[in-house]
Amino acid sequence: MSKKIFPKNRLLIFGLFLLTLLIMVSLLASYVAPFDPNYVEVENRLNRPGGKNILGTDGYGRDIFSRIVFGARFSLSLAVLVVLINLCIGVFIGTASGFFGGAVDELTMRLVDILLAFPNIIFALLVIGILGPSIPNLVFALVALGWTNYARITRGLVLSLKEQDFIISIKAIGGGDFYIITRHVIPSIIPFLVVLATLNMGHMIMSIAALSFLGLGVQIPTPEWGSMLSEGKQFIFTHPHVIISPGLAIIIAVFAFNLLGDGLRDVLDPRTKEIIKT
Amino acid sequence: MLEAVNLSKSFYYGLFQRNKNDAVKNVSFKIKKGETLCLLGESGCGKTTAGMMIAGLIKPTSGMVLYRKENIFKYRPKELKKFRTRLQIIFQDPDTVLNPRWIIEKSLSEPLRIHGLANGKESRDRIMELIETVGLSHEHLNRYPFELSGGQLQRIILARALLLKPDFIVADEPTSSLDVSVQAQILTIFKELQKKFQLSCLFITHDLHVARCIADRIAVMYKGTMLEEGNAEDIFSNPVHPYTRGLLDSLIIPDPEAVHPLDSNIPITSDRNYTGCKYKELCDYREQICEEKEPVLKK
Ligand SMILES: Nc1ncnc2c1ncn2[C@@H]1O[C@H](COP(=O)(O)OP(=O)(O)O)[C@@H](O)[C@H]1O
Ligand SMILES: [Mg+2]
Repeated sequence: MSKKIFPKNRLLIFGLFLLTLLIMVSLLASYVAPFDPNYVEVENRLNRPGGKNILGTDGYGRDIFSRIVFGARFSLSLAVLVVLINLCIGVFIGTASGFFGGAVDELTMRLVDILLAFPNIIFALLVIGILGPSIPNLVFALVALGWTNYARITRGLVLSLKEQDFIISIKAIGGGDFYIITRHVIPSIIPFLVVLATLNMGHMIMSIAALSFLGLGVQIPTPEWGSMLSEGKQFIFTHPHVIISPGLAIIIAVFAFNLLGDGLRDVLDPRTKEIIKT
Repeated sequence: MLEAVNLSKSFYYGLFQRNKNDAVKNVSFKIKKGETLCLLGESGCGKTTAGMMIAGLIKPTSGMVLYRKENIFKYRPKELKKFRTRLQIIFQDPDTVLNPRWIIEKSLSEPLRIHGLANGKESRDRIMELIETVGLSHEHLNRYPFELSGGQLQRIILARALLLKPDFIVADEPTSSLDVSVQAQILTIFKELQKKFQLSCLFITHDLHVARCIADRIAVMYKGTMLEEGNAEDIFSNPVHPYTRGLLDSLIIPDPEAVHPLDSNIPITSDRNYTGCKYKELCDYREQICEEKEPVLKK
């Protein structure tokens, strides 16, 4: 059935196309980028786009296009790392809570409720403010809260799944809890998790950029979209090209993941729409 | 062979678990080897709950289930796993029992894989043999559950239940979600298999015709309690409880105007202040004592 819907879903295809482009660019960054992203050439400061620097140069004379290309690699891999850690922790806790219930469930879900009351970015600011800015701390700050949404949704899915006849019938033929969870429960919720993780990717790219912009994430001179914005903000009126390109890069990446996430949500399972709301 | 002793199950619900629903109350029966006991009663009277307790899938609030004289709720994990090969349960709605993402063959070989009993060719041979016994063919093995009809699925589920060579089957209304024409087929296959594999059976149904066709003994349930139990012939020829009589009358004289006890809209009395016999509102033989005490079934 899904095969029929697929070609019709143009937005999904477009999202997939953008994403493939992003991934290719980050994987082949050294081939795609015409210059060393950190090569400083003071006499070429603040070149306008065009000529040998397609997107111009920044305040230190570094090639903006090359920096954006390497920034893609950086932003994507960091976001993937954060999302994967969130996913693993959240799915583990959510499955255990939903499947076994009891006191552990009560306790973890109250913790989730409390954590969900904090706005994401403010919590991350707090964590980094205490621990100091570095990449591991950035990852930690985004994971500290990020897993909760996965846990909550996984728990709900598992709760409704475990009442279903096909799970009970496996218990009745002798399948143990571990077997049921790994062979039936988790595989059944994978479509939901894929959608959730895809949508979350966009969110995390944005958070990483925002924290880097504030100087709390990736440190300069590392080519990263958020820190490029940060470095370029002094030129916002005189040489806007310095910040337009990294800004657009962030928007396109977030857009690509959201398109893909929404598209997958419709295609994989109509039910996901009710359960995962953006 | 299998015995239910004073089985009770209460569900608690609502704020602070304040409300109590006695789904099953003090139900006892014995099933001998090769015998079929039919649990007969209207929808919502606690049949499924009783069946799930017999299969060890729900823990009773009180009472016990003895399988070959051992309490199944005291089993150690290893014994429980072994018990799962001895007793199989068949659910009411065949559409929901198999993993919708798995092809039939994978679901069918699952019990063997779980118990490490057979794999590869041996497993395939056993599956083929059973699939033919239930009247299907290898063509059905590569399909997904949604591609098969309810009747075909119920046959698959029967085959899967028999794969582990059980000696006891709990069948929870296995035909009630099927078309009438298919019901008879499944029932016939069920009876054949039961004979062939010498299965003892707890057969749950709300359908008197089905009960008459399959039961050696009949236990009548009403609102969680057991009203009457006896040989199928005795119950059909000489019912003791007025409720059972009502049931049988409705079967013999098809009178659309008559109040069918199964359609009665008397509210289920889960109210904890409720006293006396649960059947009193409908009973023609109502006396003062019915208001005061709940009757207990005597052997
Ligand atoms: N998991 C449950 N939680 C709460 N109440 C339940 C549950 N399962 C069954 N019940 C209640 O127990 C009663 C008996 O249900 P059930 O055993 O399914 O009856 P039957 O199979 O005879 O139709 C019903 O009133 C039902 O609402
Ligand atoms: Mg039922």
